Amino acid sequence: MTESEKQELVMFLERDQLVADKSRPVGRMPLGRRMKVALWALRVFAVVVSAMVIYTFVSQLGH
Amino acid sequence: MFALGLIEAGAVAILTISASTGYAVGECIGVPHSFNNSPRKAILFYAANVAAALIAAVIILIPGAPLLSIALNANVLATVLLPVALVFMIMLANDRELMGRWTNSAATNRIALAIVAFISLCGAAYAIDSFLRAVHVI
Repeated sequence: MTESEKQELVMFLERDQLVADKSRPVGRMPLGRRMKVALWALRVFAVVVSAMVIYTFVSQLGH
Repeated sequence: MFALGLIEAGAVAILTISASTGYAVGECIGVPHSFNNSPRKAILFYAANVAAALIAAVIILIPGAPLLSIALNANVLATVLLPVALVFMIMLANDRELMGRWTNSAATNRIALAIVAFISLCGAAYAIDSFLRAVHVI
């Protein structure tokens, strides 16, 4: 089947079929040590600063 | 004009935020989650979508609700959490198997990481400043 025939076939798919056709499962990415450390730092940043924002919001509710 | 701008921003937010909530719920649970799916096939996606919009509507209609504080802190929280999504987007954009010839170049990555660092810095600065004021340190 040529590329243009494939595109023509896609045009006739139902919406559900189109979603299923375009679904591409992505495998686990192999991560190096530096990348793992950076992602852990990002986790800590997100949790700590989010906690600060939530505390600030709750304290503002009291005023 | 300012009021019209706010109404437009709210209308866009209703669509995008509730849809992204529905998408995240569907993605986490592993059920169909797309507007391309019929409501019958992606019931949880549509339910989460409508629920997010309804909960937001109920909260802002509470008499005397601190709307400025809600809006400000919700946006600060969104800014703090944005780098998480951006980093994963950069990682996806660097996946040669997935992106093919559109894979990020080294220069694009440097610009993207600088933007992520700037957003993180701005979000953290505002959050920490507000927090220190809340605990009366400054």
